Amino acid sequence: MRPAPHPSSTGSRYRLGSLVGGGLLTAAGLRTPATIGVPLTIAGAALLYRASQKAGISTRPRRAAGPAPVDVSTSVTVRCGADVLYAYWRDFTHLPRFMRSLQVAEPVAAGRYRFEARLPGMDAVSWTADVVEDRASECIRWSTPPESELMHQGMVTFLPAPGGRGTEVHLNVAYRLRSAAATVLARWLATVDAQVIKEELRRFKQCMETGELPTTEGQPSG
Amino acid sequence: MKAVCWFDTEDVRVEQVPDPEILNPHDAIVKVSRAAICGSDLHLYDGYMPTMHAGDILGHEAMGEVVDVGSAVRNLRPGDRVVIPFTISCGQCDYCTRGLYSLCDNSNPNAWIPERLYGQAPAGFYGYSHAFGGYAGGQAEYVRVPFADTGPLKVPDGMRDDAVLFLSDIFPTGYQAAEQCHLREGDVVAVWGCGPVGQFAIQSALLLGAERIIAIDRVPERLDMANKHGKGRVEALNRDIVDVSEAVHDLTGGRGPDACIDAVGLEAHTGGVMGRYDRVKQALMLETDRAAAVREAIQLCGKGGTVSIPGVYGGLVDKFPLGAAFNKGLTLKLGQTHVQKYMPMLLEHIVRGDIDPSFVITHRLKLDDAPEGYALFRNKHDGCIKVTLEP
Repeated sequence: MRPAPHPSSTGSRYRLGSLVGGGLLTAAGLRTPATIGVPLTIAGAALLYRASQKAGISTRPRRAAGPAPVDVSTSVTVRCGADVLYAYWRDFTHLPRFMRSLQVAEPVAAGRYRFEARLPGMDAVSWTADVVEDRASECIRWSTPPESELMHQGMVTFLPAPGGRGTEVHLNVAYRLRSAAATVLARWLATVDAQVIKEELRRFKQCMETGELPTTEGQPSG
Repeated sequence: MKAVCWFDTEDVRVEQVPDPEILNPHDAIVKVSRAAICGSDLHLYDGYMPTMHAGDILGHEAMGEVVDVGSAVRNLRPGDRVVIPFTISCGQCDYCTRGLYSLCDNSNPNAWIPERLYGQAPAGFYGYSHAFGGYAGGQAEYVRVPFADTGPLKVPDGMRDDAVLFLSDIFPTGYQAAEQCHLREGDVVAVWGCGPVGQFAIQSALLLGAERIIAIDRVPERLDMANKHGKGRVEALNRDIVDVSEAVHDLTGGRGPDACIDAVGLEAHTGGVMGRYDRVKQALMLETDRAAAVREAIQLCGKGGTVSIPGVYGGLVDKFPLGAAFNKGLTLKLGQTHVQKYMPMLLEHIVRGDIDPSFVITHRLKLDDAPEGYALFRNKHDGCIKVTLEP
């Protein structure tokens, strides 16, 4: 089944448009004579305010609520058969190769894996997850056990792309913490956002199509 | 090694930097024998391309000798002499397998930056800002070549660097611009901008059978070059002397050209009201690109014609005459060049003697003199049309 579009992904373009447009109008307004500049500045500021509201930027004092829950859906088309992609992903020990938010993924029991993540200068955090649905070449779904402090669900779906272009890989990942305590886990989760997860899926594609991840790390510069 | 590094607008320097190393299994290292400054490098030099970092190594037109290869490289060996296409392409994704190498899905490690601007990201390019991959460029003694199996073209022994260097970019770029006009016998092609890409667009249109070329520029040396190599089929228009609109109308019997090629891009220099309008809007950051050339090309193009755009654009333009394009039923063709697609075929043209691409070179400098080369080329001093650099 094709996953439903993720509701939060549709607003970002308008938000970006409002931010850019608002910024440009405000900048232009401040540089031009008052008769034109004042209305321009007001219009720009209105757009910036709109963008901030859409972005969920609150002007009220923040409550100590820990990192926001993460619930991201993203997809990519990979020029490989679903069987190959499924087999690579199903061996979760491969995940750290393309998921930079993970350092270790190791089997600890049948269908259960232990994951470990590290941030520079911090202790490692770890959790376990169970494969809760496994349909060959179609779908893998995993979840942390009910008592886990990190509440995490993931699902990857493999669908044939039209025109023989390979396989559409749809990924949904959700993380939230059971409590709002300022733990190392909370600090790690604060680094995981939609862009991080999109990049991880992109690296999965790069890894499967080319066998390597493009990089410039380590190249010279002046 | 020595390398030409960008530091700021109009500030490029030759610096001592570490040698490049193999970073991935499909990498190769090439010892550069000849590089060139491209017109699109001037967009970096003039500060119009964002996401440049101080110290970035410039250059996307380079060739040389392979000195090292990664464990997965199959078709190159140390000692091979190669021309490096400016497009970095994996060869495996859907776009590469369809010959659309400049749209490679996998070569840009910073794809998220252009995705935010454009919705999708093109391939990575050498020395052309971090939005386009942040790869170190080839105006250096050595360059790292990613996905070396899908890039460098081996050059037959005995061919001069000068004759094959431009297979890296400007010859294929001019050729793609002309090819996508789908020229028919008797067609008239107008070319805006007679810099190196414009010169190769003219030569390619001639190779592809255009009956007449109208070459438009304001730099006499460029128009002279177009005429001299135009096989008697080029009509050169100096826009400082003639009214381009009237001249193109007359030269085509009122039909307008069958195809128009904009080899100018985002830094069009025009006078008049629209020229000043563009400069003001660009200064206010209300548009990123000055679109005078493509506006004029669309306006003057004949009904049912094609407007082909090899000139580089980066962001937003204003007063784009979409109504003229729509109501004349024009076809617009644009995009970065799929260099690998054209290299072997264009090498054949060079080997057969159909064309010697070195005709565009006006200045052969040492790598150490690159800052002077950039200034000469940008200011069009000393008749400068194309600068090559030798490490």
